[in-house]
Amino acid sequence: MLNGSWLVGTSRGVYASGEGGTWERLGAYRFRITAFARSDRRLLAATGSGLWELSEERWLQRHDETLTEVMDVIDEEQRIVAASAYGLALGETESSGATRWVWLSDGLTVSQRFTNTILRLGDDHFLAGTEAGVLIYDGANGWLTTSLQDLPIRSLIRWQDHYLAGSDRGLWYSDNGVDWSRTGTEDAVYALAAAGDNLLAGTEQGVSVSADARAWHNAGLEGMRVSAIAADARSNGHWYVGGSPGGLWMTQDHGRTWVGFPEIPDEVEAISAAGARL
Amino acid sequence: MSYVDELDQRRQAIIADMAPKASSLFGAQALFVADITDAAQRAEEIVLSNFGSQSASPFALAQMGCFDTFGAMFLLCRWQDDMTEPARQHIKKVMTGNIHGRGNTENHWLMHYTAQLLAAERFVDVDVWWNGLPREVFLAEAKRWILGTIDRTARIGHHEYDSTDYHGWHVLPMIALADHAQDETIRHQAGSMATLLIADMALEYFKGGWAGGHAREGYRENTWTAVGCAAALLYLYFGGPTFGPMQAQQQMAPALTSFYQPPAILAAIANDRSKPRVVKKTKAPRNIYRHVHADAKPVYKTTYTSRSFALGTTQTGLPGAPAGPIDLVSWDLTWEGPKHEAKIVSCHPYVDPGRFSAFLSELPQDIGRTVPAAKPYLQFPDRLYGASPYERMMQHESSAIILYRIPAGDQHPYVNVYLPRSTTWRQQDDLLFGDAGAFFVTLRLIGEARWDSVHDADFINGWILRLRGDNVGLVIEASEKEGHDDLDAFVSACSEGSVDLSEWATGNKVGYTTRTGDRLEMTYDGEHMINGEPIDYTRWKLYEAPEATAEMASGIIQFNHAGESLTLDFEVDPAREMIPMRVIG
Repeated sequence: MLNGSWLVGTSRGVYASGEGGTWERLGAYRFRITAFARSDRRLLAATGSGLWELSEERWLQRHDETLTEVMDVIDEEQRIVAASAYGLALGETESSGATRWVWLSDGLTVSQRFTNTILRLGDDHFLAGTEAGVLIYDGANGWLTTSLQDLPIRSLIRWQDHYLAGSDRGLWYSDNGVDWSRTGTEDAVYALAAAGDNLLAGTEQGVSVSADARAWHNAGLEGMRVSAIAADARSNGHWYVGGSPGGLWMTQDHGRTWVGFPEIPDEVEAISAAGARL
Repeated sequence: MSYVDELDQRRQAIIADMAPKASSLFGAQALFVADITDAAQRAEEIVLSNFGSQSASPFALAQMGCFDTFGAMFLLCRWQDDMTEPARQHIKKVMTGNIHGRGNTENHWLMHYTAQLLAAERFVDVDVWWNGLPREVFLAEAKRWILGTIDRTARIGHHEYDSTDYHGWHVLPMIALADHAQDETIRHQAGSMATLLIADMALEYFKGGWAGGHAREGYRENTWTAVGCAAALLYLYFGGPTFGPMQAQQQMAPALTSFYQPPAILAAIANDRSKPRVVKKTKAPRNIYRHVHADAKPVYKTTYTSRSFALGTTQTGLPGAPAGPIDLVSWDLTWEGPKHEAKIVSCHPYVDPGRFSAFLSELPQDIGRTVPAAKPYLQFPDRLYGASPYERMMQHESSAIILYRIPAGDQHPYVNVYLPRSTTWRQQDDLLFGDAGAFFVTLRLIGEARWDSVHDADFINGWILRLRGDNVGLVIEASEKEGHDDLDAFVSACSEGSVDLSEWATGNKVGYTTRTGDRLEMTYDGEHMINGEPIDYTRWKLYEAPEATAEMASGIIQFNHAGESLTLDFEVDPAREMIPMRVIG
């Protein structure tokens, strides 16, 4: 069921899509879900209270006593990369079944540690969207600063060989992850997602869409803080978005019309499309 | 009467009051020590109805909170031989099969890991735990966190320090572990930590109340004389002038039936009013994880207790706006009296939403509405608790200077000063004098003051002096009545010009000469001087008081009183890295 389901992470747990457009709560965990990572092998959910591997039968704990307030997660199979309010951490699961975490951010300043979003650049090489801007973690050289500093970064995406960062002060663009320039909206941007040849942004003023990451137009829900967004790769113009507040919404016509789902009335911060993979 | 007999006398009185109405997992413990014939049956009803009710979801794993899991495991560990089989089996099923929430504060995690450790030590026939991990793996995690937290507290001070609202949720888990953990090291360390946490109360105990600064004393109760679950423990361990619902709270019932009991020296320290006492404590830095450039500094507390009153203040160590822990109380003057009638406290009711998101990870843009939606009193304009990033203070014995520099544009550009209605007040020139029954108060308000009334249901009932302006504050001194027949004589003896504001507007500095001739000089964001000598807080010990001393990071705390002594040695290894602080409080 999960592989073919959309997943929605809310302020009160996870919902999975079922047959006929229904939504069912997945597990009894009712805390805040901030991100998902799907691979062929497993589904990970970042939560306010740690990291969990989700299945229909059981939620498996992947945090230890040091990992909590997880904001984003990358599954590298052999290890997991977690972004949290306390920084970036690498987790490896021991033969005992325990996942133990090594912390990478301890030498940074307070707001630099708080990592909202991460993007994998290569082996041991990540972009980190923090409360103090975009940083680069390089396993060989440690932490590097970029030109995008002193503002909270809420979302990162690699799109057509470019990088985009959504921040509390608009959208930023980079060719190399180091040098950033402003593009598009100046509203806060909380979520970014690819939709075919287009790029979607969840902003303080609804959904925006662009074909080149430079020229943007609104695609509905103008009065809503859109904090999660995902597109159906199999169906052009079929997108789900989440509001904080506002709950879950869907369009099937590129944002001309939107329908809400009253069965998911909570804040939505994470959406994972059916069949999505790393 | 010995301390053990006194303790037992109070214990019996509380149990007699509590047992007939026991209805919670904690209160159920009182059933088994009261003369109640159907105790086991009533406990079973409480367990079955209160613990782990299943949802109708196809994924029918109920999510449990840490208060429930801790209450159930403490009950089981203490009374398993007297409980019914259905009650025992239900607790086991829920503990090993339901989903359990860890929470996000230090007391939450302590209750969570305590419950899990006690369960994992007992239910050895369960191979895979509720979270999918092997039982041994989760047991090891719980051990690491519990021992790591004890080690950290012994070295740099308690994080969620001296909280009237939550201290009991630190004391009880330590007692549960001391009494029931199978791991010998945990049992020993937890017993020592229970004693240290109770000593924290003893050093600042004042006639049923807990004087001075508290990490968490919120929710409109900080003008009460007996506040939070600590009130019940204070009464049980040290006695007090009042016995009522606050002293007989069901949630603290496990302390009534525990094998652990604190050493008598702590009650002797708590109740010794033979001479004034200055207690200095260092506590762990507040956990602020965004919006600021620097980590918080350690907390430094000063509390002065005299025969008739106690005055306590805090150097909160906060790193600047918008960091302002929402239920921190930095100072108060406390004495014996009815609810609302024996506290003086002030607060700048700072309401920037950043004070929430500085330590909660939700979207800052959303949190200014979501948190107050559940707790609207956190934004009340008359609020008397909650830290302000613009508050500074210093103290010397029974005198304190409290200053505020509130920037233009602040949503609440004023300070609330709470005064009890029953105190007799007199104003002469710029000074307010109060007759609080057994002692006098001298108050110098800095800034334009307006008297107002505050009455919020049963929570608050008194006067508020609202100080408006950018540069406001107060100087306060409490004085025993000896040597002055009445308020007139006390006022007459007050020397003019004791408060020096000549450098306040331009130089950020206020001076005060106490009634005993000591000179306090305080520069906002600058030096604190006593008789010309600066206070160097960074050199403070973990504990420094006539009856208690401990060097920072030593893990050794020594108590002495009237020829008796007590040493707590946590056997810390200074070279070992401390467990990272991952919770708020």
